[in-house]
Amino acid sequence: MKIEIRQELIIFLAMYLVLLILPLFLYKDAYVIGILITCMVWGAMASVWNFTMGYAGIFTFGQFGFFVVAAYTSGMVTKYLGISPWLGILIGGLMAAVVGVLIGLPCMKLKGAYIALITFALHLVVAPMIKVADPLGTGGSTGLMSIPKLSLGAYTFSRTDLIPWYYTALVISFLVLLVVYKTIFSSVGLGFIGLRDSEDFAKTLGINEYKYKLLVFGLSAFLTGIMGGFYAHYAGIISPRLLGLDIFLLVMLMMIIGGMGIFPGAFLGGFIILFLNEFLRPLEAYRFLIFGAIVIVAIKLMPEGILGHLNIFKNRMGKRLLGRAAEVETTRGQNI
Amino acid sequence: MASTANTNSKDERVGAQAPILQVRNLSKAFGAMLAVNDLSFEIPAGEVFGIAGPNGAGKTTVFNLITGFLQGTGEVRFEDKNVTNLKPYQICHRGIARTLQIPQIFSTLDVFSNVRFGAHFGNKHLKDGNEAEIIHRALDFVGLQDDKTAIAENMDLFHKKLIMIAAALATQPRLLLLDEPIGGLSPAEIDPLIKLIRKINQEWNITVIIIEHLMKVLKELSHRLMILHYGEEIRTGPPAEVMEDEKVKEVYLG
Repeated sequence: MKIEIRQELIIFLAMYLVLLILPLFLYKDAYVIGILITCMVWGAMASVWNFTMGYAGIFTFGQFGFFVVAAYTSGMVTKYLGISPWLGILIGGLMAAVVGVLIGLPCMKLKGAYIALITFALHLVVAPMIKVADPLGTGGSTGLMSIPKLSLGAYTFSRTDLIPWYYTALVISFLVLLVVYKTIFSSVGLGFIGLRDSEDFAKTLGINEYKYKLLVFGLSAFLTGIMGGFYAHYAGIISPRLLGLDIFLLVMLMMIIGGMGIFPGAFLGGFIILFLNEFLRPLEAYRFLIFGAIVIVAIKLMPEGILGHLNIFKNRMGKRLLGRAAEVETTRGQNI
Repeated sequence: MASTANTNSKDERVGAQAPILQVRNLSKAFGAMLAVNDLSFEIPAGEVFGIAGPNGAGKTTVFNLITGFLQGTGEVRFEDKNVTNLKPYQICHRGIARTLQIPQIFSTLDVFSNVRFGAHFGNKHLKDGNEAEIIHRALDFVGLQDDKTAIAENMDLFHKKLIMIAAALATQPRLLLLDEPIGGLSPAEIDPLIKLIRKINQEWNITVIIIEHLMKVLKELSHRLMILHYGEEIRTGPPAEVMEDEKVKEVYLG
């Protein structure tokens, strides 16, 4: 039997190999370790977003809603009910999946921009709900504080030693990306990509499009929720500010710069964007101005993102989404 | 695969078969316009049934109603079971496959994956071991075996049509609906496609309904021909007779 080793898998594993040994050289530099943890959290989230948008072609803008719902769920069940944070992360992920399926239901008959609107409504509604639910213990607009730390046996993680957090983020984000990778290249992924390329053709060939679209919503919300749950315990404090526009745009840029529809471009994009963000920090108020300019130039020069630009995937699935959408528009509704 | 005698003539015995598809009082209105108006017809198993008519006659709408892409009134029975208003994927699982008028393929996937989609999702009772066999059989049959690793969007129109047909065959249908399979092809490409459709009918024992504008093609392929006009049946019968019909000449051929 022939075992196919995909370039996507090689890049993915190579990145994690580097991440695995990086602390050997950086363990004294808590600042950089901290940034790397953030990169893994947001990079994994961007990868899941890319899975939904780039591979399944569903324009969802509700990913931060899932992230925050899971973060609060995990934070609250562990803080108030004394449940283990590890279990809390899982419960948070499941809660996000439920919300994902619920928000997916009204999207079943919609396409493109309309799905973007409905899912962004989730993004917008979560922050006011957290504030209103202050009496339930969400912490309102100040945020949920003193979220229990992770622990392993007798050892409890602390902010003074980031290395255990680093390796936990590494394992969790690796598992999330592995699920994304496995799904993309399984028959389930074939279904997603087929529905993205031509929904009508896919339907004539016997796919239950409702089942598959709900699966995309549920799975992507669950995986995003797992990262959200981890983040809550790592940060120790979460607030509705997580739903601000700045981090939303940063994660979106990770996906675009890394290469939409190309695994694991968004994860790579996470490191590029966050380190660029740190690098430009001394510019203070001018930071976003320069940041914006760099992004515009990068998109102009490499419209398919970094991995797409390197053209190592022979254009396999790295089809630009915008070109794709335009093509769909021209063929839709013509006598079918 | 049961191979029939190597003949180009149409099998005249199909009329004796029980109907595989029965359409009764099918109607569909778009606003005030009746796209399909109280249409009834039956197709015996093994037949190639042609549908023709002017633009806007409701031909594709009939396909969309049979395959669940549109909901209408009336009844559609397949193999004596009611399949009216089932969802497209359910229709496919029952054994009805179709191609689309404007070729639609999975453009970012390779040819093999396009066909695999049909074998995997359209074939409910397929065991994994058989999947590859079904795919290769479909690829061999339409002549795409050498192009199986090519990205579908890089193929020309003729090959895109072959991809659609191969994927449809991979669902192992008993009834295949072809929506203008010849449209847009060069004369040199038309002949091989006609031969292919005949082989689908005769060698794979698949009943075929074909919408087409080229009367030469319909005359050559179909056992019976139905002419539609404003969603209504003008005439149904053997192609030679239908084409001599005065009303058909007036509304369509004239």
